[in-house]
Amino acid sequence: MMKEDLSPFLPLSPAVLHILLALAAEDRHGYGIMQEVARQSEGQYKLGPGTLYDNLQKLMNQGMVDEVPRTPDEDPRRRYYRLNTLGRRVLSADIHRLENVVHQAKRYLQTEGMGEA
Amino acid sequence: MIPRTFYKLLLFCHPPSFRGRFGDEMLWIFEETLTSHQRWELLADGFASLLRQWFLRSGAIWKLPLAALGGLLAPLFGLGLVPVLRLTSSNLRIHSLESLMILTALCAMLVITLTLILSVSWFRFFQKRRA
Repeated sequence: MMKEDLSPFLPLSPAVLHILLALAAEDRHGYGIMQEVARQSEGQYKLGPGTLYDNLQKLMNQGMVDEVPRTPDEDPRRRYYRLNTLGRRVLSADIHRLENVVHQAKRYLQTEGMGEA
Repeated sequence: MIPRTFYKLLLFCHPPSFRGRFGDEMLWIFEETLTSHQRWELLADGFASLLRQWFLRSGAIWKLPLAALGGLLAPLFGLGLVPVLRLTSSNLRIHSLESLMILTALCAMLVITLTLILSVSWFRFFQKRRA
């Protein structure tokens, strides 16, 4: 199977990374995403609705996130969003990139610490 | 109550496509937010969003210099009109320049109102035909 080139989507901005992470576990509505982002970052990263929906629009246009069809009994103002296969692949690729960054950082900091000692 | 009205106004000023798609959800989030401190934060976010959507996302950045130019035209036109009015007032034997300026302003208002009415009627007619 040919490997898909995900480089045009990478690296993800902090807002996009948090949104995709919030959607990775389950489908959520906008307010749910905001609350999940605040929970994940222990309140350190606050996402406002303006930033959230600007990024959601971009992610939907890029085909990473889909809007979940509504059921008739639901509040029409509450729309749910879902991470699709492409979104999941991009998120995995960025997490892999971040793991490499952390690995490198640890290595350099360790060397630096040994040099000081 | 005032922040909510102000937030609604901010949402109303967003580009129609963005407002139509996310406006209700944004207002719902605002209503779910309980503390006044958070509401002020949302207002700041809404203002930033307004600028972002118009300047960066709408692709209409070229309209800004055009609008500024259009805005400049009005005072320039007004300043250029003074000598013409002076000349006309002496020709028509109107005693004061002020009276002529008021008359001109009234005529201009009438023309603007008529233009607005015609534009709206034409737009509605066009919309009906499309529907």
